[in-house]
Amino acid sequence: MVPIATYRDERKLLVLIGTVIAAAVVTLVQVDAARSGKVSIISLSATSAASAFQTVVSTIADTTRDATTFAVQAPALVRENSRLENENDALRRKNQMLSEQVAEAPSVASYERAVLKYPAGVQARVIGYPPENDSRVITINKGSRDGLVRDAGVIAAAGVVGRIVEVAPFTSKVLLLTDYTSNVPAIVQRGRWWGIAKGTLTRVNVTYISQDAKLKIGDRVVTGEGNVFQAGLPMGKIIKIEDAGLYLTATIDPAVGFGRLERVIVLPHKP
Amino acid sequence: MIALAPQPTWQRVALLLGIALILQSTIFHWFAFRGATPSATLVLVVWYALSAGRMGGMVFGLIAGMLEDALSWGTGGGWTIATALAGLFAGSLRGGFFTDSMVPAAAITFFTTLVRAFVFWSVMAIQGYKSGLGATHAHAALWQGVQNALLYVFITLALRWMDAWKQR
Repeated sequence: MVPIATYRDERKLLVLIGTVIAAAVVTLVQVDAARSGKVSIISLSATSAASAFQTVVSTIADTTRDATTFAVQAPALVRENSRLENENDALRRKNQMLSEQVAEAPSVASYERAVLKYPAGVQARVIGYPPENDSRVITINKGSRDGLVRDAGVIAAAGVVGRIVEVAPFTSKVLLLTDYTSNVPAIVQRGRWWGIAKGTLTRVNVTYISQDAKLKIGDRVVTGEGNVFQAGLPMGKIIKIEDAGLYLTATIDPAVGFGRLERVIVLPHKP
Repeated sequence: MIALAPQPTWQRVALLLGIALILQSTIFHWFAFRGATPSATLVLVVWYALSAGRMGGMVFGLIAGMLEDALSWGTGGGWTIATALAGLFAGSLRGGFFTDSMVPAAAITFFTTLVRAFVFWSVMAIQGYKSGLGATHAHAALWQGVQNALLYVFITLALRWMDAWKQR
């Protein structure tokens, strides 16, 4: 009698079937968790285990990068410093007059000033990015144990970062303004024209702006009142305007440099 | 009979996978170029699959992909399925024409990246992800393929240099 399958073939078949079943189960668990707005047990375990390592690696990497940047720029900075000292006296008088206006301009606001402005906000550090760059999401080192909840707004010194989409005990994931699935109410500050800011991976498009709007390149765009953000938080400046037929679309350069984010503030969730 | 590369121990591969995932989720975004970042995880899966074969590559790809899904957001089981199939694809080329030498293995890494990206975005489309972005993703996949092939070459050269340094 000729055997139709060897033990080895049978084992391979079992591995194949097992892998297919495992892949299907993982997919179902992940999709089910995403649809119900919860964190799956797989994500929870992996992010909790990885967060400590991510914190250590991010801290070392950021410090190394800052130190390297300083070392590279040091000679040029010394020359620049002596030149600036000469200019400083002349500018000091002018500076005094402008200082009050500058203090209120969000574009030059420091992180510390933002912290003072939002005392109820939770300060957090960026510790992770998606491994495959498939979405625009960051991981921060604060979670439900620090009182963070889903849909809380996140800002940096320069402006809006995004909103929290997933909360684990020690970490949270923040959907950036530039992600395809991000939608935030926006206002062009100069004329109070409304639109919806949607991510395009690299920039943000403000769509559905009325045809009557007299948009200009360089116009500042801020948040409109919504479920996540209060009105008036800086989002960016218009760099391109397109006529989409029924409405206008403005491409904005985000105020926040998402590639170099280190510290953020999570705003209290609006009830 | 063709002499194949020895299969690495699971402890070593598990450690390398952990390191690859941590590096990818912390500092690899600095190397983003035209929407693509290199994937040390996929390079590791290809390397393992070329020594372990189809089944080993597929199972390792499944585990690596599952962890990538866990560290990402909104991908469901996309990376799990795509990386398992990428491991199966790369493993099926084991023992082929000089597949354990650097240049053919780098080429396999490039093509495996494309296969994985195609499977991933197909799974994402089934899961309800926004359509009409095929050109953007294809463009990013091509660049990631180049990055991954270069990463494979870089790691191979670094390992060779380390071996030569140890023997001195």
